[in-house]
Amino acid sequence: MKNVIAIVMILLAISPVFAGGSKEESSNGISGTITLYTSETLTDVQSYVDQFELLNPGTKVEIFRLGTTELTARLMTELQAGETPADVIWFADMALFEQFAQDGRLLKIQPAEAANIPESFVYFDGMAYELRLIYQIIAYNTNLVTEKIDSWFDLTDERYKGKVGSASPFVSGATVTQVASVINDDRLGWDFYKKLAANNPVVSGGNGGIARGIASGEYAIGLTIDFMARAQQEQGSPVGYCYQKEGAVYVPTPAGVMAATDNPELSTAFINYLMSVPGQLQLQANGYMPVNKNVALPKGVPSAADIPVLETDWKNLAENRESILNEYAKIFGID
Amino acid sequence: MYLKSSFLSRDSRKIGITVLVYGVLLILFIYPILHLVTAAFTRDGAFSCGNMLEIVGNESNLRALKNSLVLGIAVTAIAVPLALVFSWLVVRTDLHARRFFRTALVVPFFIPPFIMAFAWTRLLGNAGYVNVFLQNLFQLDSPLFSIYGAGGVILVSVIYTYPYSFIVLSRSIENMGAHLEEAALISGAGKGRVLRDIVLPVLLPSVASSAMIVFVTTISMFGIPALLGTPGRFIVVTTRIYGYIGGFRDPNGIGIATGLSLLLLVIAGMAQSVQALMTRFDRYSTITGKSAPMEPVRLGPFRLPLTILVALFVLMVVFGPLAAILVTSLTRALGLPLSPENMTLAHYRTLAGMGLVQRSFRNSLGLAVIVPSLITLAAVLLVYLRRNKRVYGHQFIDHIVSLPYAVPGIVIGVAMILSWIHPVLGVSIYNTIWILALAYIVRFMIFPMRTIDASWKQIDSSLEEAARISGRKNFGVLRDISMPLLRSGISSGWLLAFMPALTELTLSILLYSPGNETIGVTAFNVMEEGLVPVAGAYAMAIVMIVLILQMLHGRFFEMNRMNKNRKKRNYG
Repeated sequence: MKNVIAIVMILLAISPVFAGGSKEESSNGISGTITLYTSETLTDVQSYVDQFELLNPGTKVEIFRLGTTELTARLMTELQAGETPADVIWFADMALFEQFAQDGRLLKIQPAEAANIPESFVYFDGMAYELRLIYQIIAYNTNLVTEKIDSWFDLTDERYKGKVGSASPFVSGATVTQVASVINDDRLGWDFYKKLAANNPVVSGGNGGIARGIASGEYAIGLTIDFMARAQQEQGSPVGYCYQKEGAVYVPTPAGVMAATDNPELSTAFINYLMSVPGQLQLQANGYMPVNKNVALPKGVPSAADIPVLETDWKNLAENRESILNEYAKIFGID
Repeated sequence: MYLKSSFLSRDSRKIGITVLVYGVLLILFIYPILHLVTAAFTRDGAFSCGNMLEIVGNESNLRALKNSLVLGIAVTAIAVPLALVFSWLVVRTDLHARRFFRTALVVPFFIPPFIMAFAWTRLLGNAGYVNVFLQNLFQLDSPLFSIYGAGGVILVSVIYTYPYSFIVLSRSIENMGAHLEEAALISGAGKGRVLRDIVLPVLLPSVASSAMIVFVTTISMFGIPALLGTPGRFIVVTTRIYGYIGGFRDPNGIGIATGLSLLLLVIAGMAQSVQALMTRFDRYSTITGKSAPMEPVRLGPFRLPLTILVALFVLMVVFGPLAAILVTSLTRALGLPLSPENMTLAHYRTLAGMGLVQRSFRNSLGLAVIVPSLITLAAVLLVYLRRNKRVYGHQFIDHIVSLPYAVPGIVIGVAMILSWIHPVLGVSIYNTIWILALAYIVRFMIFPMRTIDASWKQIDSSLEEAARISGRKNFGVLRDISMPLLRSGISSGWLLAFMPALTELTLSILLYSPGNETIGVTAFNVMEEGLVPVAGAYAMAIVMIVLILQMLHGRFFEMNRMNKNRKKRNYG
């Protein structure tokens, strides 16, 4: 029994002890601690936060990182209970940001660096901002696919029957955007999904899983996010990708400050840093397409102007989300 | 055996104990569940049955409900008999290498389900090692097996759940006094007759309780059906619940999700009643302190074939996935052919360099030691109070502590957020590691309760009565008689709670906070980054640590057993 007590005491001693907020102030007058809720990949976010804290001594950004679904579940539950620790939110769910903007849950901010990013990336009159560009594209395993891939209809090719992967719109916000874009396009529409369903695809999980499955050969071809395909390529996996000629899916990933934050200055400064040249260079180094016009694109990445993009019908999605997703689920048998 | 004069004080003490026990249960267990019930029956801030009506009116939900039931029954019907056969073989027979098999057969339980599901896709997926091998062998155009769909979900769920049952049953068989069997054999009964009429009835409480846990685990499991079921169009209730909470963005999503999880609770409650009915009428006490260990059953000509069968099972089911994870962790990048130049240890170095990984191990190890220790202690006290009728309404305790296990982790996560985001009684634990500790207590309490209850049922009360008559006080009886005999129940209960607590994912994912990451959360996030080989290295590290702990635990248990045998002889 004594041993057990000793073990428990030791474990208590090593379990995290919470240090109080730092009293030190940085040169530009911001200080304190904020919490960031994000679905960005962890090592990437960590690199931004490390640099930000280095540039602004006395500040701390706590990272709470989860997939979009789990993150939304936590945030919505917290809000239903009345409060959330989140100060800054950054994830790929435009519809939720729009709802938050309408409900006044987001703070209108004016970071100085906003002047250097295109106006189309300022959302809801300054309540949220785009910090880098990502697209949902077609990726393939170069060992299994030797044909030239450039079209949505390559996914319906019988050669790949049973070997096509796609994230589920019930997990991936990007895939919801995809559905709202595909059904809005005359060349694709619901017909495309019916043809795709006939090819017996695996519809499951998030885009990360699809990119991994393509790398491992689990899927020959599939829909995933461009930077994920690039990351697998860089690790040395046999992965290729293309921006579809009919248009890739542009996936907005807004970042904003919660209206209820108790440190709006630090929260705004963090978003401002992400838009600034040092922050954008860090994003670029991680393989993302920057939005700041003073920062060049990563190697081997086409500029946004050269990427054809499908038009997303946000209004239709906001009004008919449930019936659209139900229709999708019925076609793919995942209802 | 109490004198009349002590009745009054005993009554008032019973009231005191009851208030205390139910007070704790109320705060820890009932309060979060009440939040679920409230959420299920609320719409727009007012009482409503709307969520429930929407659930039963939706064809997809009903189909998912049917699938969950089919899955639960199928998995239980396969996993429990499998575990029973294995337990009997490794404990009571002269099977070759049975000590090794006894450890090896438990290993699948240590591998977190989401890593296991991934390992199985590496084996039996479209591009899995087995399928690719067979495809090349028979020159086929398409893979022979599909891991996606009902079959795959059942297969992997059986592999994940049979060890629960195996741990419980092998300990029970070990504790079974041999005198009953000996008596039957002497009276001329055949081996088959002994098995049917003596062994199985005596094991019934353990079989029933482990079947209950397997069934409830299966219907409340999310990771395996999500990864393997959804792509094969096999949707279960937990998948629907997950959708309502996260993906569907239904305005009443949380209400409907909690409503669905209440349905799972009702099903689990029914399973529990069946279990209670099965074990109600007989006495199962077999440890009377009067018997010596029995000679192992001789398998005769079946010894070698049975050993080979068990070895094949271990090879495919235990080492297969481990090998798949190991190979993944050593490959330079996913999708490269297996050749020496593509092998590297770099991912292990990456892993060792991540501060987050070290922090997660520390947090999870802390939680996985503190929580099982606390709940095992609590379970001994609760079962003791119940057994001696020292608390009013003792029959409800079991139901209350098993409720949270029947609900998917994410729903308990939601209930915990709703319950603890605001300070309760002046204490604020939200956003600290203590909310995780509390959630694990609530979630895993069922394990020590079950095993301790089951092994206590095996102890004949004559031993305790004898000690009382000889003048031992209650606590003395508990310490000197019950506890030593309960060691195996305590030990397996602790282990059963420790393993899932170490790698818990679904609760932790909603409740962790920066700095308080757990092993499960970090493994999930590393996997999400697409760093699959690193995630593989991480999984290997987890498996190694768990195996070492398992061995230490085994040593500890062996030591105790020797003590116990000594004590047994003293009283026998």
